[in-house]
Amino acid sequence: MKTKRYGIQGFAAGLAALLIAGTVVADVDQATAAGDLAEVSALAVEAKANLAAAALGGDVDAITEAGKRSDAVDAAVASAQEAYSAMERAIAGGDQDAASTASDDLKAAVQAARDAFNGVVPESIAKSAHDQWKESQTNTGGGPGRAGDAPNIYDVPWQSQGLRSFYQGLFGSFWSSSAFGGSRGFGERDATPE
Amino acid sequence: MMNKTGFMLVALASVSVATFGARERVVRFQNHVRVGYDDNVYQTDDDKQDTMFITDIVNLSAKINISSRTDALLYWQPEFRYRFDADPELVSYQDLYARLNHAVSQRAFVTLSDRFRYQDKDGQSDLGATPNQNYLENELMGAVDYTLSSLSLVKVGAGYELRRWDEEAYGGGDTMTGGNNDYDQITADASYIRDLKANTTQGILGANYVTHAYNGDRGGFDSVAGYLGVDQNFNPNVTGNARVGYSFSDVDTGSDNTDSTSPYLQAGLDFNPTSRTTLNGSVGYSVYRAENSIYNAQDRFNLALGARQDITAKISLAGSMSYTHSMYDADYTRDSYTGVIEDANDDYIVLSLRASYQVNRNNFLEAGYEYSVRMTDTDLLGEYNRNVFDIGWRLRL
Repeated sequence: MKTKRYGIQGFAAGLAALLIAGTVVADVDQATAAGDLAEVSALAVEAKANLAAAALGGDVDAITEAGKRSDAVDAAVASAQEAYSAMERAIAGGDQDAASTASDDLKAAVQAARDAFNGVVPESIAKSAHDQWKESQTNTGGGPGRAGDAPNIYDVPWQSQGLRSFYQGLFGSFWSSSAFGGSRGFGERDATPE
Repeated sequence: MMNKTGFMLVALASVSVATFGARERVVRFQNHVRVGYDDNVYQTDDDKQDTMFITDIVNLSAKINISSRTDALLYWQPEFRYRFDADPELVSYQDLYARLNHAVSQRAFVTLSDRFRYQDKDGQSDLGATPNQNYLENELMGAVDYTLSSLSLVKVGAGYELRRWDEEAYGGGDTMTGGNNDYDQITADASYIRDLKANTTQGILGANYVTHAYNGDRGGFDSVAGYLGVDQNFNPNVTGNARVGYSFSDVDTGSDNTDSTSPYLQAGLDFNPTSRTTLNGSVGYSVYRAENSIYNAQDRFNLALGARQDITAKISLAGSMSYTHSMYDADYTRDSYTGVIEDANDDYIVLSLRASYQVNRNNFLEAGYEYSVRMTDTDLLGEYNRNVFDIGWRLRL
């Protein structure tokens, strides 16, 4: 029985190795990335459990602290999921640079989740916004969106980060489909007959 | 012309110095060569002129980390289009864009940007306007984010945009002859943003001010809008945003003023059902500058839709559609206009499709189609429709 179990485990390990080998694109290991994603998800669940335990304990400070940690872990999970999706897209498109960048983003998100779980929570929105902005600069065009997209030259800096990211994506759709280079605003026309 | 060339050289020199002086930089280059057919190159309703064309579009972008707290983005997109059966045969566009981000402190974050465009396109128009349609456009914007607490921040920003036409009679000149199309526009915006639910929902309360002035005594408009907004991450695949408010406008027609109120709307949705599919769309409604010499403002509704699909690892599709509905109130007509004064509606639709095949890491083959149509309910404005087909090669380094 014991021998049989080891045999099954060996087969599973071999299969896993094959899968891993099949999903490695240059420096990007998709299997490891999937493991990272699973780790942050597990941390999120554990953080929620800690929050529930604190709530049962009734200590207001403990509840606040556990809530902050849980929110921060959730944020890291969202970043990790986003990075993982970007990595999948990049691998599917054969874009090695973008895949590598997304892999780095994922690792950063995993570290952020571990930190948050252990109580190192980002202090302010400004820092968070700045960090998000810096991270969003990792692709070709210098903004959120697909690798290879041009930056949205109609970006409005006083808009919220969410709105700016949204318009970067929309600009990318227009830029990549237009017959004219796409560097004009949505609906903007050539200098036309009046 | 010499001044504009000099401006471009100075800008490019600044770009080069900043790029090579940085601590860390990433420079990317793309080149698109397209050969195609345009069935209405002058965008006219009658006597359409068709032509084959060959175009080259260059994208050069540089991302520069100047320090741990400062980064910059520089982007240059020149486009050169040779049209075999048009006059002039060669036209070009220049887009230059720069953005600087600086974290002043943990609480304060500054962004500055500048967008410059020069459109070199003689011989464009034969209706109403002069044949010379060359113009220079520049938009300078800046914003400051200041954090109030762990949940809230304020954003304050301002911008200055100008357009100058080469043709003096069209850009400057005499209002009585249809000129004074040069303009200056100043925008200011302030908003308070609060996290209602961490990383999920943000609420926004803001105000926006625009003052637009055409050259000379033509007039322009002022507009103040107050709005409430929300940015929502529904889940990792769906995000949405909305701004809803009311705007109060004062349209200056030269010697008279017309007050009006209108809704202010801006909303968008981004949906990524799979890692291979992106769908996004937005709608908006606001007071906007007129795009002709007759009126001084318009009430504008616009819809924009985009879609991208990776069919396989090598084949992808991109499509977009924009629809703009312009409402020109007779009261917005500039005083010096001597023709028939009436309300006018102008609809403009652009539909674009492009397929791309990735040959190898750096090379792509493309095929594209774009349809545009303009429809009006008045003889004051021109109508046309246009089809553009192209096949091309894209190099990405």
